[in-house]
Amino acid sequence: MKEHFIKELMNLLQMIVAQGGQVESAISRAITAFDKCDEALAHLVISEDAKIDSEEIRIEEECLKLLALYQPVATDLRTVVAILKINATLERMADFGAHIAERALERCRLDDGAADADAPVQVIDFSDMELNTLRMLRDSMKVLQHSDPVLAYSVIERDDAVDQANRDIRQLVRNGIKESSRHTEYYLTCLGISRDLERIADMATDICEHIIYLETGKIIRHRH
Amino acid sequence: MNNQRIKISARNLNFYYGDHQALFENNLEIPANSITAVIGPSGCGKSTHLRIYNRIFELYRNQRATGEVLLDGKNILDPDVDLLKLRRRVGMIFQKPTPFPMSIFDNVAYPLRLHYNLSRSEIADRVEQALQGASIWDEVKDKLKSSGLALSGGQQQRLCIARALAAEPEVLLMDEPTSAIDPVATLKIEELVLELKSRFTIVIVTHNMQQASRISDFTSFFYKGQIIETGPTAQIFTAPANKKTEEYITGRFG
Repeated sequence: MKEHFIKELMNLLQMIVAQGGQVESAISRAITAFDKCDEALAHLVISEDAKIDSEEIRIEEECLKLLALYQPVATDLRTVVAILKINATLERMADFGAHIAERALERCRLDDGAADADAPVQVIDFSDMELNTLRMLRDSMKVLQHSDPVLAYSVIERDDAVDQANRDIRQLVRNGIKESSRHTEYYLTCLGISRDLERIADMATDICEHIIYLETGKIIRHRH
Repeated sequence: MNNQRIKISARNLNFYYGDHQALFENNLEIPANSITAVIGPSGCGKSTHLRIYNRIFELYRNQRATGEVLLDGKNILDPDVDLLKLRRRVGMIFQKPTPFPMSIFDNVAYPLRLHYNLSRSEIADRVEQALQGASIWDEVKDKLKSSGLALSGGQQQRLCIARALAAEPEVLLMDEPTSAIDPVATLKIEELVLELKSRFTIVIVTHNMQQASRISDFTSFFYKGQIIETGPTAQIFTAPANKKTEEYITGRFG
């Protein structure tokens, strides 16, 4: 009975790690689609979101089954509860990926319509923010895979830099719109992307906090 | 455990079966009007520990305890303790129901006649109260004169609880009270135990971890005669501090 439970729990861990891989790849493709104005890639991300949604439901059902049939306690209980929460977080992350893909499509349309002379005065550069967010995302998936609390804390610390980048971009957007109302659409798209990236970084942080709970039994949310 | 009055406090408690030491420096505080569950693998000393609280171990030869068990601050291991009085204050329920071979009424009246000087009508009233308190009155009120041994296992156990309650104890020790009883009767007794905690301090030894998590406020984990960890039950079952506790409650050993 005990061995059977452990086998089921291992299976569940594999499922959530695989789901994490799917989500990471969706988000990184969405960002590439945005950077390179790749419409085909953006469409792919949007269409594959449905798969992630149905996998989320499958994982949740598996968690509920383990809770009902085995009534796990202590570390086993924390593992199932952490997976349940990470599962929901991953699904929302993927939604942000799809959202970025939609903005990529918007950007492609804007780029198509704009003459060179009409380019915005203040072009917004996301590359650092993208890089940091993607790195946090990848590391949070590593944390998920290897239950590495040291890496988890480092991801959590890096969230501040992404928050700051988001604030900086908001300021740039505000200035840009003031200077030229003709480019409002462009700036609003940039604002949206910046917010999406900032939320993805938050969720990478959430995942790390859940893993720390799983490993130590300590709830560290809302403390920073 | 903070702010709660401590009813029993075991301090540096050791126990010996002849030359064999079974308990090692046990320290445990039992808060009043709460349920404390004692868990641990077979042979870890749970029952041995419990049996010290009313000195029932002294019925056997070659068994001795050292250290202190303070009941409301008074060491019950002191030689001047009145054992009859102690066992009235600290009642005990055993694993197997132990009704006396007499009628249901006489089973419950027994401690009343032993400890108190009461009129027949007072005895009848208190027997009814005790049977009500043990949630068995409705099932036996029409057959108080029939033998306690004729009841089902679950009913016998509730009869024994009624008998323990009749003595008006302050503490109820329960040594695996439901291990010989089916799941429905077990749930009835658990309900009863939860009701009783407003009036008594309850210590329950159980092999059934889910029972411990369902009904107790505090859980103490015993292993090889030592107390490994004691804490609020919710904490023990979500995030125990000790690795050994974790391994035991998740079924990785024991």
